Order: sequence, then C-alpha cells, then structure tokens
Amino acid sequence: MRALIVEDYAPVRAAVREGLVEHGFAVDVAADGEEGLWLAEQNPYDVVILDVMLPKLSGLEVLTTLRRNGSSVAILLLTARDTVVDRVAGLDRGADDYLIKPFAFAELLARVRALVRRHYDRKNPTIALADLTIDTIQRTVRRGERVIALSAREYALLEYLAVRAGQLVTRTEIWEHVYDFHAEAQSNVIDVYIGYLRKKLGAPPLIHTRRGHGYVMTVEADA
Amino acid sequence: MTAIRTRLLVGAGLGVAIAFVVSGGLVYTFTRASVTAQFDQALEAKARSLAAFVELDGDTVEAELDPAGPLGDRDDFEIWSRDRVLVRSTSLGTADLVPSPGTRPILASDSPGTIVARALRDGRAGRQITLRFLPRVEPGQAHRDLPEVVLVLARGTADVDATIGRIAAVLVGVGAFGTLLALAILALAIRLGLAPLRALATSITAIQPGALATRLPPAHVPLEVAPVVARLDELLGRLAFAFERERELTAELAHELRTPLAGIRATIEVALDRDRPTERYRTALTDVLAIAGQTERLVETMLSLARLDAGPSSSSSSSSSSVIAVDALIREVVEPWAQALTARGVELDTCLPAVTITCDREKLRLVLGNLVENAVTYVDDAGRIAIALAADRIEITNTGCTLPAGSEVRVFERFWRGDAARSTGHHAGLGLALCKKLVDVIGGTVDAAIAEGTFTITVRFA
Repeated sequence: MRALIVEDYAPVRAAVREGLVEHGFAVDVAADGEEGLWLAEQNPYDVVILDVMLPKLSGLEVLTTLRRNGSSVAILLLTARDTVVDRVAGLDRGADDYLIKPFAFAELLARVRALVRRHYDRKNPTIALADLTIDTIQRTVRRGERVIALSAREYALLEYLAVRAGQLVTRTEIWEHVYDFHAEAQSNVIDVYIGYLRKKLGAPPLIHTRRGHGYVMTVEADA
Repeated sequence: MTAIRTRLLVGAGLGVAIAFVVSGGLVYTFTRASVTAQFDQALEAKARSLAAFVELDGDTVEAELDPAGPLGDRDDFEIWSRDRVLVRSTSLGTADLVPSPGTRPILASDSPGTIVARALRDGRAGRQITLRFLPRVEPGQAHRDLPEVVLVLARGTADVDATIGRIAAVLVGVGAFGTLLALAILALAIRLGLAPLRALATSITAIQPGALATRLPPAHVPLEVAPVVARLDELLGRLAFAFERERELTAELAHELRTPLAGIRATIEVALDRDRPTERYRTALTDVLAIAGQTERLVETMLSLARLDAGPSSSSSSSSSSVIAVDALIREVVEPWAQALTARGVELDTCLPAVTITCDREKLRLVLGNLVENAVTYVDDAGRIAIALAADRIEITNTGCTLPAGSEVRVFERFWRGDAARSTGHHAGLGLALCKKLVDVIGGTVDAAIAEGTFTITVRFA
C-alpha cells in the first residue's frame, strides 16, 4: 500500500515515514502544502496523512482542492488543535479521519490500516481466499495449516493482489501501490516477484496472468 | 472585621441614649427646680402669714398665735425674740429648730427668707425657712429699738419628692423605651438599607471565573453604592479580557507544545517498534534531544514573556542598566549566522557607526538576537539582509517577505505566523512578541513595515 505524508515538522515526518515503511507501506513525503497537493494529484495513493498547519498551503486547503478535483483518496488529518470546531472543520471538508497530536504511532498505524481497508471496501482485517489466509495486522500468510514465510516485498505484492481479488491488476498499478517497486531499476522486477509468490503459495495456483494486461488473483481456474 | 450594621447600630444607639439622658436630665432639673420653687413659695407665704401674728405690744414682743390652731397643724415652726421662744408648734414638743444664719432684720413683710434643705426632727427630708424680721408695731406707736424676731418654719418634702421621683421614673422609663424603640427602628432601617448590598454580594458570589461576562444588575442600586457597582463592573470587564487572553495564550501554548511532543513520541515509538542496531537508537535519541532543546527554548520564551507581562517590578531585580556599544553588540549577535547566510547566498549589508545607549544589556541582546534570527529565518536564498544603526534607531530589513501588506501590526502578536506554519520546525511566532515587550521595558518603540517583498523592523530608543 502506498501512503503520502504531508507534514512540515521534520521529526514527525521522518518518524512516521520510517514506521510506515517498516510496516510494509510505500511512503512518499512532502514538507509543505503545495508539494503535498502536487504529489497527491500525481500519484494514486491509498492513504494521505495530512497535517493541518502547513506552510504555503494549509492542510485544509489541500484537502478542499483534492476533493474538489474529484480525488477519493483516504485522508487522515493530523492536527494539534483539538477543539470541536477544528475537528468538525476537517471532517466536513472531506477528511476520512483525524488524529490529534501528539498521537500514539500504533494508533496512527491502526487508523491508516482501517482507512486502507475501507478504501478497498473491506471490513475484515483478515483476507481469506480459498484456503489462503492473510492476516493484514500481523502480516502473516497461511495456506491451510502451512505458514508461508514471505519477504516484505513479497508480502506487500500479495496483499495488494489479495485486496483486489477478482479484479484485473495492471503492472502499472502494482508499480504505483507496492513497496518501493517504483524505485526499482529492473523493469521485470514485478514478474520476478510474481514468480517467487507463485512458488511459495504452491498449488492450486491463485495468481493468474492475463497476457498483455496484468494479473488476477482468484480461486477460479485460469480461463 | 466590623459589620457596618453593628457600627451604625452602636453609634446611633449611643447617640439616641445620650440625647435621651441629656434631655431627660434637663427636664428633670427644670421640673425639680420649678416644683421646689413652688414649694418654697408656699413655705414662704406660710412663714409670712405666721410672722403677721408677731407684734410689739408695749415693750414685749408677742405672737398671738395658737399653736394648736389651723396654722399649726402641719408644719414645725418656732418663733423667738431675743432668745425667748414666743411660740412653737405642738409637733415640736420640747425640741428646738435651728435657725439659719441670716441678714439684718427688716420688716416682716419685706424680709427675705433663707430657705435651706434640712432634715426634720424625725429624720424625714424637709425644707426650712428662717425669717429675721422686726415685729409689727401698732400704728401711732413709735419704737426706736425694735427687737429682732426669728421665725423658723420647716415642712416635710415627702410629697414633692414623691412627685419628682415619679417624674424621674417616667423620664428614665421613656428614655429607656425610646432608646430601645429607636434601636429597633434603626436595625430595621439598616437592614432595609443594606439589602441592596446583600443583593450585590449574592450577585458577586454567583460570578465564577468561567462566567466573567456576567455584569452586576444596575437596578435598585442605591446612589452611594452605584460607583462601587460601576467600578466592579469595570473590574469584571478587565478580568474577563485578561482571562480570555490568558485562555487563548494557554490554548496556543498547548498547541505549540503538542507538535514537538508528537515528534518526540513518534520518534521514540517507531524506534522502539522493533530491535535495532545501537546506532539507530543513538540517532533517535539525538533527534529527541534536539526536539527537547527546541521545546525548552519555546518554554523559556513563553516564561520571559510571562515575566515581562507580570510587570517591571518582577523583572527589575535582574535589570541592570549599563552603557552599551550597540554596534559591537550587533556584530556579536550577527556573527554566528554569518557562515550560514554566506552558504545560502544571502548578502549581509551592515552600516554600524559607533553608537552607545544606556539600558539593560541582556534585554537589548535578546531583542537584537530575536530580530536578527527573524530576518535570517525569513530571508529568501540569495536575498539580502540590511542592518542600519543610527543614533536613535536600529533598522533591520530582509528580502523574501511573503507577508501581505497590512499584517505589520499582527507580526507582534503572540503565536502569529505569516503562513500559519513552522517552516523551521520550532518557530512558534513568539520572537517579535518578545521583542516588542522587551523594547517596551527598555523604553523605546518597535515598528514593522512591509513593502515590495521586504520586511523592515525599526527599533527606536527613547
């Protein structure tokens, strides 16, 4: 999953970025409102963490502009102001959630995960596909009783394919949403990792190739 | 603490009591005097009628008076002539009355009697008149040497004393009752009179720090209390303003402290999320230490402002005026920034003639430090900072100002930032507020001007 952090206060920006990366997110950062708006309009983020007090363009202005331009990205507001008026102002402009500074990183992470689930119309943090179970909190994968050990990249790829289960997922989408693939020089890196995943998941196959288009994760036989 | 009511009651009660005592005393004295005068008149009339019975018959003085007659019924009397008792009242028995020393005798009809208070034989209180006179002479009878006659008449004053006693009792009774009645009426009047004060007290009690917008009800306030109510209302207004400002500042401070706290917490929590190499923990701790330093400066600035707000008295202890070379102080303040400014391509243009002023060195250093830091923070890369010193002013100008015209006054407000953000991470918008306060204390003025992307702060010394 790919997240954008727009925060002008460097210590918070750096810590949240590192924490999210360590929990499997592909993370971009912006230090002011203008840069944040530009990044949010250029890239299909799964979640945007947006500080309210920003130089150049305030978080609320960024939020308003994004919604006016039709963006449906999940937005979590970070604010140091805790009055009802401030909180309502953010939500009413189209924020999905808010968190008051200082916050517990665990809570930020949980809210970000919940926003991502909602973004993909899911409620259950555990994804089940035939006998494959993915615990998105612990980030563990089991097939039947067998625990499958995956690398961070493999897990991120599998989770993205799983939340989009039944849909065609293009290479570009994988490129844009999965952990630092977009920074990878090798162009066939996605095919390589799909190969790793298929091998680790075993039979019957769950990831199917649609030639010229991308991949579909489904229990149905390859048609 | 003495209650007004008690004071009024005691004072008025004493006044009423004294008035009653004085007027009662006067009434008593006059009544007594007039009753006694009447008594004495009657006594004297009787004495003269007795004296009329004494006449010279040949060579002897005689009193043709029957002691048992109608004149001798009630009073003691005795008449002498040349130490010979002419007649005495039967009531005296063998006892004698004692005449008062008197004046030269004249005719009975003109003789002034000498009246004294004297106890009767039986010890009852009484008054006694002594007449010294010459006996009546038959017409045509001439006598050269008339013998002196002394008449003493004594009458008990029991009736008169009883009357006076009754009057005194009535006076005391009226006085006491009048005093008590007056006190009761006074107490009631004071109670009614102080009712508005009680109502005021109730209104004041109802005012809590959270409800300072309440104003005291102006209706039914007596004229004398109206100024107090008006002053109280003004005080409430000032308090409400101060509380509101305090509340806003506290909210701002809480907000300002939350940001570094968020940084500290996020940095530590992410670092503790899993096992890491020691070097990584060291980095996290260094980051947290830096944030702590920024927060400390923020709190220090807030405290400085609060101390300056508290008034000159609390800060005067540390103030010590001295003669300061301002040009040298500016060089000293600018020096630490020089390298960073050069690196950013900022042109530093200083015009520093030798100028000395007398003020508190530390305060002036804080002012200059904050102004220079402000300029360094907001100057654009490859921009220009100009510092011009004159005999009565310092002007610090920086380019790269993005503030809208009209915000010149707002820059001195606490927590106000042009773009509502902390571009350097620890700029709380307090520096210029502190400067203004410090310049006030030093005794000068500070103004800001914005023109075509340049921001100029001018400090004028008084």
